[in-house]
This record gives sequence, C-alpha cells and structure tokens, in this order.
Amino acid sequence: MSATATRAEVQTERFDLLRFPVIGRLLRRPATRLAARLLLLVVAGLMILHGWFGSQLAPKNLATLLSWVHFRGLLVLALLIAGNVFCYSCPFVLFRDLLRRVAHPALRWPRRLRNKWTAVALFAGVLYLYELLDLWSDPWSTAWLIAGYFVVAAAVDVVFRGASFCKYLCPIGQFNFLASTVSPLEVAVRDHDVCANCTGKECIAGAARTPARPARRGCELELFQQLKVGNLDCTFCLDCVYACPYDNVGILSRVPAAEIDDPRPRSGVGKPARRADLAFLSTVFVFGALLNAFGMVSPVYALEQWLSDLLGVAR
Amino acid sequence: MAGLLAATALLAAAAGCSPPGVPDDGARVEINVTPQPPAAGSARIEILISDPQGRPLAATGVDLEANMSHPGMQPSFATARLEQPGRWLAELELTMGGDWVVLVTARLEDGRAIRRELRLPGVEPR
Repeated sequence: MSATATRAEVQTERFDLLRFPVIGRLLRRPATRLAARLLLLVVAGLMILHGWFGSQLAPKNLATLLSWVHFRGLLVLALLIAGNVFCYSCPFVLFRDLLRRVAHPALRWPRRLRNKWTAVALFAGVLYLYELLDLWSDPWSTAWLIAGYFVVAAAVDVVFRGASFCKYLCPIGQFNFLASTVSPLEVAVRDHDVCANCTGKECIAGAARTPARPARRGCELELFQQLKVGNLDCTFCLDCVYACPYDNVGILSRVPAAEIDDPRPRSGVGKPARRADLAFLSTVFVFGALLNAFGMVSPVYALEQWLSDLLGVAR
Repeated sequence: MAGLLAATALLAAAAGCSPPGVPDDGARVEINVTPQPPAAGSARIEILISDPQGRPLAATGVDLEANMSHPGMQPSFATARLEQPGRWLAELELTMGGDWVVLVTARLEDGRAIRRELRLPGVEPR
C-alpha cells in the first residue's frame, strides 16, 4: 500500500461534520452562514444600542453582560467542542461584505505588514484598555468598542483585498486562531489524491460562475487547502467548501493540539517555528489573561495604592 | 460609507456622554448602610422615603437588589420591612469584597414606583 493510499484511508476514517445528517447539509449551504452572521449582526446592534441608551449598570446591560460574560464563555466552549465557530458567524465580515457590494478594494495588504506584529500590538492594546477603562463595568465604552470594531474592520477591508483585517489585525480573530489549535475539528481536504489531479485550485482561486453554480470566492486568508495544516489563520468561513467543485473539503475530526508541534510548512502561515511574531502572539495569548487576573487581586491593588501615595498621583 | 459614518456619529451624539441622573419623581430617598465602611457579609440598609417637604411617604413595599459593578457575579436580593412611617430596614448579603451597586425600588401607595441607585465602591473583603 502506498503512502498516499494509507493517508487517504486514514482520512476516510475521520469523522466529517459536513457528512453528518442535517447539520452537515445545513453547513454546506452558504445561506446557513449568512443566517448565523445576520443573527450576530442583530445581537451586536442591540448591544451597541443598549450600551449607549440603556442602563449603565454593567450587570443589567447587554453590551457588558454579553461581551464580557456570556460571549466569552460560549466562545471558549465552542472552541473546545467544535472549532472557530465565532469567526464563521462573524458579523463584522457580513457588514464588510455588504459594503463591498459598492466599494471594490484594489490594494493588497502592505507586504511589510503581512505578519502578526500589528495584531500582537492590538491584542495587547485591547487587554490594556480593558483594565485601564474598566470595560467590564462600562456599558457605554463597551458599546463604543463594538461600534469601533465594525468601523475599523469595514474601513480596512474596503481598502485592502481579501480578509486583511481578519488575518493581520483582528484581536478576536487572533485569539480564535490560536485557541482553535486545540479544537477537535478542522477544515481539511478529504482526499489528497483528488487535489493532486485538480487544475482549477478553486479552494484558493475561487470558482467562476457557471450555469450550474454561482461564482464562489476562494480562501481570503490565503490558505491553500492542499497544503493547509491545522487551524491557524482559518476562520472556518467554509469558502473553500463552497468553492471546491469536487466536494473534497470537509470539517474533519483530529487530535486536539496535535498541530502545535507539527513541523510541516503551512500554506498561508509558513513554518510556525520560524515565526517570531507567532511566538510573541502566543505568549501574549497565554499570559495576557493571567496578567489581567493578576491585576485584580488585593496585593496588586495595595501596590498601586502605595505607588499612588508615594508619587502623589491619582490611582 | 459616508452615510454610515454620519449615522454612527448622529447616534453617538444622541447617546450623550453621561448616565441618567436622579429622576425627578417628587420623592426624597435617603439610603444608609451599616457598617461603615461597608464590608462583605451582612449589611443593614435603612431607607427613608419622604416628600420634598420631608413628610414620610407611604409605600406598599420596598425591594432591594445588589449587584457587583461588573457582570457575571451573583446578585443579592432583599425585601425591606417597615419600621415606622417612611422608614424601611433590610438585611442585604454582600457576598464578597469589591464594588457594589444597590438598586432600591419602592412601590408607593398611589401606584408609582420610585427607583434609586446607591454605589458602594470598595466594599472590604471579610
């Protein structure tokens, strides 16, 4: 038995969510993704409005209650049970896609910025702002953060092609990309032999409209399915699933976290071991939350008070 | 895009910059907390309800709800008992140290409900 045959055989044994009754059929339809994004768009709109006009008591306000409690909890559960479900349902992308019906970006994201350094700064910045502005107890500022997110994501992506905001800037996306490395599911090729004989490479190039199928875009995060490894930079948007004319992309089970020490070069990512920006992002990801929690314990408050008294400045 | 930004700016302007102030509902409500400074554990809350001239206002009931200033923590509820006209007392459990907000709702005999918010920053841990 050849190595290729062995690999294909192993792949057919993997659980494929897209072949699961009902759920698989629903997920294969772009309309399901649209419905999920519309739902989150409406929820985000309600959060913004409630944050601006509703009670400013954080536990009674949707902006703070959903952002800082329920959303975070559901996000982590979804990542542990399935995969990057939030990016699949991202309302910011829906908003961007609506704008792109009238604004057609012509530029590519600047080559010098095609890394995670800006995302690291933004990720750390959000964690810092969370502490500085006590965002968890401030519905009004939280609503502004959500609204600002919509504006920035749309502004970036009506100027630059592809999913530049998702790949290079979005702090939530970076969190999801890294956390989904421990997810039990990944978007992956079902049979590599089929890809070997594919000439169109529609999963990344997109598929032109035909009498039988509407036009489909390829992966906007530049992940070529044939060489894709794991979940890094994958938004689970399923564009590749919709574009593949051979129905050869699935949502497959895998060993959670096994990809972390996978040495193979990855499409759209390269070799993670050689990516200092990814290493730094992972460090912020791992220790940022701990630092946030550390900043809330009594000894740190006492230290801040002591420094405040010593320097004669407000705490 | 420009329309969207304009709409966002308009909404933001309408939203204003500060939370709502004390409502002008014709009632004076004084809320006192014991112990001082407030500490985690059982807190005694005294609520004095009067009209603008200082005469006690009759109420059919007074409910309290205490939340921490950030979401995700267990709230605490209590119903106050009438001690004398216009004076109500309640025991409220502040389950941990931190910043608390107490919401007081009094139902007046004329059917109106008046609401007040008392902030208790820096409740000491046990």
